[in-house]
Amino acid sequence: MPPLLEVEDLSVTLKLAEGDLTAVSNISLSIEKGETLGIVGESGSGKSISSLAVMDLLPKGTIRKAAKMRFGDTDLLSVTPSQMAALRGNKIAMIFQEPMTSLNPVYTIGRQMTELLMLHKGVSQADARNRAVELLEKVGITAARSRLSQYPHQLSGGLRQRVMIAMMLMCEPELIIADEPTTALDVTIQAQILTLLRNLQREMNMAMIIITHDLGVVARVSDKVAVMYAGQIVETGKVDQVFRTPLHPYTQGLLESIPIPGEISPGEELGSIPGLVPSLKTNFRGCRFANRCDRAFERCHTTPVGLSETVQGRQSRCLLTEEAAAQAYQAEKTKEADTSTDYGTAIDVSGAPVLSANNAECVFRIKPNMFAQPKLLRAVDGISLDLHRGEVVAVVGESGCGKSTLARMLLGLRRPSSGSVTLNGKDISGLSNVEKSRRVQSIFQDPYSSLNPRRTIGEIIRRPLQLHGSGTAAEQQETVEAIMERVGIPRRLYHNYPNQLSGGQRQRVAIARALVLKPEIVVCDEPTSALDVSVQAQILNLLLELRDQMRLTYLLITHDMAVVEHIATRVVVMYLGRVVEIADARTLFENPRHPYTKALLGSVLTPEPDADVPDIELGTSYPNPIDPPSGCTFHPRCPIATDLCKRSAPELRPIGATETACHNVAAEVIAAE
Amino acid sequence: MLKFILRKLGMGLLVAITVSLATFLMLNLAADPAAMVAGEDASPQAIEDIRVQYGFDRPLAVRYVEWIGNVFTGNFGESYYWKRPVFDLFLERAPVTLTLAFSALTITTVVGLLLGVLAALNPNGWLDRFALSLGTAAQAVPNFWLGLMMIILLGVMFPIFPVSGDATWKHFVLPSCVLGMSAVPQVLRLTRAGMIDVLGSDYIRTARAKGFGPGRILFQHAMRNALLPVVSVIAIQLGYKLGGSVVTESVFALNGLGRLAYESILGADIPTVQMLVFIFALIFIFLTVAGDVFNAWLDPRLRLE
Amino acid sequence: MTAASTSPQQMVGDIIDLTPRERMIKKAKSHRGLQFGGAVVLTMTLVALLAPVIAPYSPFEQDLAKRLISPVWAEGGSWDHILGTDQLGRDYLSRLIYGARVSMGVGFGAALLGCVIGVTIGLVAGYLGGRADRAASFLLTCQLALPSLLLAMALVFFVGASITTLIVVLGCLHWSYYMVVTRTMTRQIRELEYVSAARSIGSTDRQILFYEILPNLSNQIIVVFSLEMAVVIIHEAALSFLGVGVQPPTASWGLMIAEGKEAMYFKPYLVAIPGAALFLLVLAVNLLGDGIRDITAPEGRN
Repeated sequence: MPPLLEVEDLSVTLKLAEGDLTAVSNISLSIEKGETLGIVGESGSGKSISSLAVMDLLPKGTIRKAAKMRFGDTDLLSVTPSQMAALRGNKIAMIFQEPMTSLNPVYTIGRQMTELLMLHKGVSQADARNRAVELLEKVGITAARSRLSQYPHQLSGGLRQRVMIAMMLMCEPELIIADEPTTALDVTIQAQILTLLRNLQREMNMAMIIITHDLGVVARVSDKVAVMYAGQIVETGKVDQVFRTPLHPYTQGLLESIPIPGEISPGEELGSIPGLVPSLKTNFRGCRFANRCDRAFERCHTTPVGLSETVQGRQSRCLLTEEAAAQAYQAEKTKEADTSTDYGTAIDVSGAPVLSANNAECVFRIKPNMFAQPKLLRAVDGISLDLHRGEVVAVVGESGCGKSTLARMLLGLRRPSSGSVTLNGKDISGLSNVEKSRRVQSIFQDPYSSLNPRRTIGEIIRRPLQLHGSGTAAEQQETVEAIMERVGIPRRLYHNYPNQLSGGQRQRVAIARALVLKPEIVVCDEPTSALDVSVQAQILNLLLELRDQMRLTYLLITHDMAVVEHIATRVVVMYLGRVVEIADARTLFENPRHPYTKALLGSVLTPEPDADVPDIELGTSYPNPIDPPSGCTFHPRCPIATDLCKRSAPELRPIGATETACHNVAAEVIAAE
Repeated sequence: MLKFILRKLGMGLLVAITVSLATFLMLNLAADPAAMVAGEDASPQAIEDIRVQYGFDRPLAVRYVEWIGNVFTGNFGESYYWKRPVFDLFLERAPVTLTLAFSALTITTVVGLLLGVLAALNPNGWLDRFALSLGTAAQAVPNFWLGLMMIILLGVMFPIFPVSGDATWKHFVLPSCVLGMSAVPQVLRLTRAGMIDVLGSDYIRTARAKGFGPGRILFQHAMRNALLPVVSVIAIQLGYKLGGSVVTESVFALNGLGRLAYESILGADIPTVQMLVFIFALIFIFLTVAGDVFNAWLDPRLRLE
Repeated sequence: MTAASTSPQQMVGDIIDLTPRERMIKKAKSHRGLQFGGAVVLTMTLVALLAPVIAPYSPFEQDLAKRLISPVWAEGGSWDHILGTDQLGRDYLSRLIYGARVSMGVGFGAALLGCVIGVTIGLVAGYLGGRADRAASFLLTCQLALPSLLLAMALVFFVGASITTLIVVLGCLHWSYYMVVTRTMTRQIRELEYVSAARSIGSTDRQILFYEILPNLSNQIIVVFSLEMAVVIIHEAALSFLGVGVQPPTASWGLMIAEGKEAMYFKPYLVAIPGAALFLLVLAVNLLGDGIRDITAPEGRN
């Protein structure tokens, strides 16, 4: 049987003011009925553009060329626009990344769902509404009929993505294309949406293309995978083949740059791909990956490299022989994780803490309008936490849990509403800005907004020295150049501006600015989440190295459990402004107690091709912090909640080696004893 | 929804009172009102007589409270110049200006919206370039000069339209075009920008992925969102048209509120000027509230309490 | 693959873009509107500054024997008076040249005054937020509700018309656009991480406002400045046209149009010439503003 979708030699050229840019070069794809193909790549690899090309949804002024493009019996290269429109949403459906902006804000859910069915199938309004209710229920939305009259802004991101999925299934498409369907969602929701997509795909026997930067997602849901780099497919094959024995050095590098427990020990340096993704404006002669490849030889730089088939259905765009490539990778991998490593255990936690929060609370007064009664939002609800010298304390939780507010309080940027934050025993609110900033520094999430666009790199890094009046101008410049060298920014970039640098380089500048005053504590708020996978590993390695060199203490705010497991020595799990569990990293990962911690850990998608998408037994949505549930705030989502949990909030208490706030876990442990 | 409207109106009332107070202070402090009413050659004694006669000798605060108190009962005071209740003057002159303002607004809206949408459909196309050039030119052309040139061209060289007075609808054609042109650039640019923005949005991509054709995408999925910012601007522009009619009416010798304002300023007729500023402000406030309410009807997100 | 993170091969120094200034210059080179607008504004500024030097005659000198001479291209015109003369026999070109002083002077002065007022309010409101912001936005609504042209007429007339009065009154009535833009931008920038970063390296509020925020606003403020200057120039002309602005015998383009109005049916150039000059200046100022906006507009990431 011929494949459902067949694409050969597809190229897409964008017409830009500065000239043409070929975003996708000669890619070929095929997918059978009921099969899932994962397309994985970093930003700018052309993965999204190729799917838009299939849908004929490319922006105006884009040129699409292909030798062949066929869907079912239809030749997609020769269809009229109206024939193509009749396929879209009907036979081929697409789900987009941003559930917040992908639904029309001025129309109800019901209208947006039913209009699709009425357009393609010509059914009546009433039938369409029934079908919509049926599908909303299928995607796990309760009170489905009443949702039809709601507007998108009344739903959470996770719910909107479910609505989007339900909507796109209205016509029972044969192929569904999901472009980063879970990237904008919290980790626990991500697992739920992926499970849902996979189950629906099996149930309805659809073909699915899932486009993502996340190797974990591809590994768990797809049958086949295509790895894209700089507009080309560099490797393709069955998922377990590609993930077990990647052939292309880029695929290998990507897999190595993700910390996988058991394969790399905490604190150890990650594999990383040096350098940057080349600009697509480059006039490529040889292999596009050659300048970042440590096994490249001369011919790689001079001759174009084609995709060569090795085993049946397996292709790689590399001049290395299959054995040579595989061997090199195995050599890397057999270096077993050293489980006896003492990472983090040598820290003295008996001494006085360098930074501590004592029952700190942060309450916002939310006033929807001038006349309304203000409502209280407890962003941080009574948290006590000690940081000892040399520790890497990770604060984890989903968005809205108050972890960033906690960080701002610990930085002294926000005064606690009650309780206190002390730095080396002194109340931080009594310290001047200058004193505070000498000891505590921060690195922010988004390197695109954390550097002032009107200042040069040198000015940015030097600014703390100026503010603190340390040294003469010449000495300051010297210090700045030294720190630039240390974080890996060439000295000649001193007079350049942030817009001239890549994301990874910018994050290095931000790190340099934080470290130029030689602080004791650095608060890192999601330091790698805005970066591409291969660059993330570079930054994590740098942070680890600097910690050793400069005896730093880190407070790491993040939602990425893989990163936490890799570099944290102690972990604080937050939910709705409270700590639900706190333990040293190894204990927590080996033996999580709190049901929320278990869910968080369970939803981590490591790139293991054998593993399935984990089943997360959580109620769908994160509660609104203005109106938190009674008792234990986690009870509406908790699989083991009892009546007691609805009534009273559990205290954080030591249970074994961890401290946990859960009635049931406490009862269990007492019973066991 | 009712609460939403009431709250907006309450806020508007506060603005109106502040504006009237500011106007009152400015007009009375800009110069000695008694001297102005008395005229240039009046003797000091005559000025003092007028000061007592018109009550200018009393404290400003007392006079303002009296004025605003009267306003709430519908009495805007007596004109110094015409010696008649100023509100009667307003009622006499309003129809001409309202006709002018509404016909000008119709021209602005039709031309601005149409060109804006058409330009957005093909950014950088010939129509877009034409619309933007027209907008830039219309923004740079002084209203009164355009009026005079039209009089020379269409009134005198090719006498198609009458050039002064308000006797027939034909008299309103040229002034409406002139006044209407002045706001075309704003409406055009905003419509164009809003439309380009919306057409590039994620939910329009979704609509295309659902298989809708270009026509339905434009009219059903994009228009409503793109119109949101335009509505507020049109409301504001109507307010400005009333205030801005002073120049147009003077050029075309229309006997409306603008003309009244002009005459009362030259006649130092503070009660009339004060009333006109206050009423124009009220109309402006009412229009912005109406714009907000209309927007809330278009966009459910704005209905949130 | 496990290269040390500071090893030379990782010190990637690929510069992926031009500096902001280089990018601006590059864009300016191909922006015709900006070039045209800039050239005209520059020329008009020079003309205004050098008026006594370049004007062929005094703008006030009357010669009733030479009344209403047509411009050089029309019948009866001569090179003695390139643009002809007005009803009082004054040289029209000289009056036009001196008129540029009024337009440029009032336009620049009032736009600057409005800029100072609007930017100050906008910065404070946007940065502090909360009550200050609500107060500022109330003030803004009040300002918008005032019929500004009408009020300007009344105030200028009552106080007594002079260039200074015009500048003060028009400046005080044209700050709202600056305020809106400054407030919106300040609010956005305040939430950006580089402001948090500035605070965490020990900057005070003042240092943040002047070192981090204001430099990022300057381009937008210049754009608003030019657009507002255009509006103010038209308003000055309108006031002078209505007889409540610049007073005779001073030469102002608006006043010239008003004076020429009486004779416009048989000598249309009396109205056409000063109006065209006004149109050209306002167009150029607008094009300059739009151009600056285009060349300084931030681009998407990469």
